[in-house]
Amino acid sequence: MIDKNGKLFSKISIIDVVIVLAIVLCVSAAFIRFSGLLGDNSTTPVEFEYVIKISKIRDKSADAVLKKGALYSNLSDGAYFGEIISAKKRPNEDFPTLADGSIIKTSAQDRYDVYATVKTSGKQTKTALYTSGGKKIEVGSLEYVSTKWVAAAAEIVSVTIK
Amino acid sequence: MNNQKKKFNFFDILVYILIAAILVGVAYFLVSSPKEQTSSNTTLDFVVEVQAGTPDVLSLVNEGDAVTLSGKTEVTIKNVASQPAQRLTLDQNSGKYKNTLVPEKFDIYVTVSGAATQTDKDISVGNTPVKVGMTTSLEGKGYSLNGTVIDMTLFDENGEEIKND
Repeated sequence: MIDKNGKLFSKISIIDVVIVLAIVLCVSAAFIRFSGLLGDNSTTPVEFEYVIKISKIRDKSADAVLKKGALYSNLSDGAYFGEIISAKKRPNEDFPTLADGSIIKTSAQDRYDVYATVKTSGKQTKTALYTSGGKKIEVGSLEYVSTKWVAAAAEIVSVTIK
Repeated sequence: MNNQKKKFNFFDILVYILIAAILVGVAYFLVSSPKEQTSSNTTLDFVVEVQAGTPDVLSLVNEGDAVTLSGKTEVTIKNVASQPAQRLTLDQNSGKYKNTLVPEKFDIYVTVSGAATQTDKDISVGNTPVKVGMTTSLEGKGYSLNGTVIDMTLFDENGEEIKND
């Protein structure tokens, strides 16, 4: 079937066949993905704001967040999260479990929690909200973020669609 | 003598189209990426906290040392300060946080200075972005420090502090 020159039935190069199959596969996948065959994939442009909480950080770190500015992912993708439009610094609130199993509310001294409101445009599907940088925004998720001045781990605590 | 004619067949055309599409995509991505503003002639001073360092390490680190930042960029140590090491711990019985001394160790505060460039996204020394809260390493002659940036100050070409940007 394949001759000594790598040709199928002595006519078609096996390499050409593999490349054509790869192209057909990609085109088919794209068609299936965007045609709606997998369900409703429509997206709607949307403006929204969400609040991130950066917990138990030092005074200087909190002050760096208060400088606001553009927010990016601190991971290798560096995706855009939005613009910090306001930020508030509060004494840390912590809920540790003690040796006897009880949970109390306490505060780590010289540590602060910062709540920052981020504004962005993005898109929404039936089940998800994304920033223009392609980051999925979900209350409860932990994101590694940075501005020009600071890098921190932040929890998304609320979302408001405008 | 064989007269071999080069055949330009259907499969070759498909491959060329695929390569062209990839090149167009790359070109589009490069052209459409937002241009970043840069500025130079600025200096960044930043403080790296090395927690619970040993006395041996403390004795090696000196003002004026040339060190490598994150293994990439050469910077200069402007100042070295230290205090007995403390760790913020939770008393599991009372539920209160307190600063606890770590015996025989020192928290070392190294102020480093280097020429900086800034974009909308980063302030960088060499090609190393510097941000409060990030971990970094300072490698000097005979020592390597791993710490966290706890403060940074940007100065313009006249030595005036740039407050915000």
